[in-house]
Amino acid sequence: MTTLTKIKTAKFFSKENIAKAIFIALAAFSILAVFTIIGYLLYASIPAFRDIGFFKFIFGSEWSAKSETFGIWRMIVGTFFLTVCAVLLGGTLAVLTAIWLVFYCPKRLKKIYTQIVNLLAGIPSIVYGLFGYKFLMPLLVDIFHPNNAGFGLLACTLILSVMILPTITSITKNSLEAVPMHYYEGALALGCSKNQAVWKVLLPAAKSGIISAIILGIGRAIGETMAVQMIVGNGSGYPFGAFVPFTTLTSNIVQNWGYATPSEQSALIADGFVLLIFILILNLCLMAVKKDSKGGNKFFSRRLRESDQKDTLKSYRRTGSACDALWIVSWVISLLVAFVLAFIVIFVFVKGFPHLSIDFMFGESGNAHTTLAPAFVSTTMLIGLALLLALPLGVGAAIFLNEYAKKGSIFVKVIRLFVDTLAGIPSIIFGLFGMVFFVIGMNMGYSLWAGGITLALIILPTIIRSTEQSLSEVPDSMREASYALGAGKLRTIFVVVLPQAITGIITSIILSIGRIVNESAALIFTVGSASTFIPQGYGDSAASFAVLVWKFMSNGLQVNEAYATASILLIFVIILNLLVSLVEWLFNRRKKI
Amino acid sequence: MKKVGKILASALCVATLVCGTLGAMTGCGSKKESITVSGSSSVTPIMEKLAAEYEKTHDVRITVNMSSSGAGISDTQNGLNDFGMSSRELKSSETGVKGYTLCMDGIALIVNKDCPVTDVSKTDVKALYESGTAIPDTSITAAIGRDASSGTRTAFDELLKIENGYATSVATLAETGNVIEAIQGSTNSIGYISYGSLKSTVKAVSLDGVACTVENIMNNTYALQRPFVIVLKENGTLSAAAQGFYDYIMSAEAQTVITGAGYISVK
Repeated sequence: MTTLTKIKTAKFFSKENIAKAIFIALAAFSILAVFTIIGYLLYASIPAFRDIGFFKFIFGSEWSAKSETFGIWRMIVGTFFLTVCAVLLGGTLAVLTAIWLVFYCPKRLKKIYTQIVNLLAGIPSIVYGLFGYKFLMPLLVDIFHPNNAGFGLLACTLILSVMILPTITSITKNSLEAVPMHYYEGALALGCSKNQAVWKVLLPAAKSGIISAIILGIGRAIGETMAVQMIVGNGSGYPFGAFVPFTTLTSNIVQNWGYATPSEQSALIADGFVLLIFILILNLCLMAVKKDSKGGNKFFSRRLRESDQKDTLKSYRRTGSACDALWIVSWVISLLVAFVLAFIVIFVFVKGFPHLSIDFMFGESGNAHTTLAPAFVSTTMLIGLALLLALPLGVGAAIFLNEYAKKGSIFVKVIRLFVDTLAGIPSIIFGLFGMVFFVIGMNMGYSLWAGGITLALIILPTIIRSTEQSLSEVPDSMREASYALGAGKLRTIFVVVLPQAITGIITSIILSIGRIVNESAALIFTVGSASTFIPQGYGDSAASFAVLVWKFMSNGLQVNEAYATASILLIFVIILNLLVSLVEWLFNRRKKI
Repeated sequence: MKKVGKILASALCVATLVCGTLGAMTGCGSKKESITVSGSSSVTPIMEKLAAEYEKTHDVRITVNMSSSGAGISDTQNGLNDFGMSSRELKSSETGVKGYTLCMDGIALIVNKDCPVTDVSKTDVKALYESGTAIPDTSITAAIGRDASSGTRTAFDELLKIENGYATSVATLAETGNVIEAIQGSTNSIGYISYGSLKSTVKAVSLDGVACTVENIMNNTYALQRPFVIVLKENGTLSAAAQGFYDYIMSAEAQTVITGAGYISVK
């Protein structure tokens, strides 16, 4: 061997190259995760497709464990109807809310209202379910006197549209704010009133963003599980009527998994697989509509977001047109949304606080008297494990995407696509995957191990995106200065860039904790629901707060405890939301200095 | 100001890690013998009471996992518990397990407290669940059932001879509690739950003129009744701790707890 090749090999295995390889591997993990989920669920549902027949499974309308006939046509129709109704209602409300928030909201209210939307997004699905079950359904019964206890399309649509509203609102808001400022100014210069400019010029200009918002909303609606499961009624009919109990793809899985025989289990996994296919198709649609919302040129590149917004609030002229009517409608809707949030929170607090006691929260838990102490421990354990796994993976992937990869290269695009796909997969699918892969396949049993690893997959996209965002905000001049001082790439990243991006990482940690605290469907399938004792280690089954609400609801004797636990959950959610704002505030202050 | 962010970040990280490991370590010190019981949500309340009583005098940890009779039986078959709970007799297709009757339980038909109905007939109830026809001359137009794995539902369907599933208008809910909650919110619906889970928040109606009471279940005049069954593995042996708990729940001492809770002793 010549000296030259020796030097080359030495260089090839240098610290920098090894680090780069590690970062690439971390970034590629998302691709691996998505393929494993799809592959394993397909593998686990093959017995069902083979035994039942693919077409019989899709188009069969009977689901009976007794006669071993499994067809999901009813559930597909149910999911489809519910999604259409919820997106029509929720989408309209959300777009109007976003328009109000960007153009009509008084400046002082803006921050508070954004908080409200974030809070709506943060309320756990199980709490929406509790609210729907205990408040909305009886209310609907009082109003309409239907032929049942209020189960069915109407109640589900109302709850689900509130649940998908925050997703659609925040993305629509972002795309409205990205519209070039001169569109608005141009419209005014041509003699439009403010309302005309908003509705006829700016709204169409933000079209592609709004469409992607709606698609994400559809994904959220299709995958929603716990809340829907409680109020859909799980009847054996089709959802033709406001008060007919029906079944969705997700509620079918939750309701039947508990006792399923091996053949039915496979059919349920196949049900989940079909759901996953729908989600993947939606993701492809999303990719197709997504455009770089550039617009404008180098002379007119100022966006609405960057303007001081004083101009957008002024109304120069009023015309008695339909646009003005829409202006009023958007005000009414936005106030309604705020009212709904306040009502849900107050409802749960009023019902829950009287039953909260120190003993119920921290007292010793046993068969005679279940307290929340085990939930505190198990929830923290889950947060700890999930973050421990997902944080290095996510930050590593973000470092690769922002520091190593060439901007706009195909590899980066592919990774982004898979990160987005991972983010779009509903938690029930993660639950099913965790169940067949970790609990059964890797023999972990219902355990905090299985739950923590599953949660790590769920929060990974959040961490990648948030970290990447803040890495990209670090000015290049800092990197250049570091190189100029002789630092290597690795050193630059860890000593200069990462400390600057710390806000994004903290925000992603807080958001992830929120997601974990909210999670119920995925945990029921991986950690089980043993709630009586403090878990003795990661091998134990346990119940987090959200799962505990579900359990208290189900056994029929502890509704008050369900409300009390739900109010603690809401307090967590509110605190986490405030923390995010606090971090942003600290960061902004630092920026100014 | 830079420090604040760093401190916050490290505090968060440290806090989560410490909590995680602390959580993992608590309890590791005290290794009590552990017993797992799983199955029917109808049997769960009484099993929890029995477990609490037993734990007072014995140093064991009994975990009662609530799911459904079907799950309790299959858990036992697969060796996932020490023993299972079922709220119906075992079927001949469920092999490898044996059932031992713990006590008897009635299935109470319940309506909203504001509902004027006090009595229904078997045929009317059957017609309501099978084909959705409202009970004549009453305000009851809707029925709430349980999911297919429920022992209460299996027993209810068998006792009323409902063979071909429920009408599409019948909502099927996963747990006893959900039925009670739904009935509380609706004056025109009827549902069925375990007699032992009956609370004052809903009203039980009589069936063909016979009220759902302990006496009527005992002397067999109330038609809707079924056994609570403890499911054991056919050829397996229980661990010493589980055997002790099993002997306790089958003892005369436990029967007083059972009757005290509103179930019917068979001993």
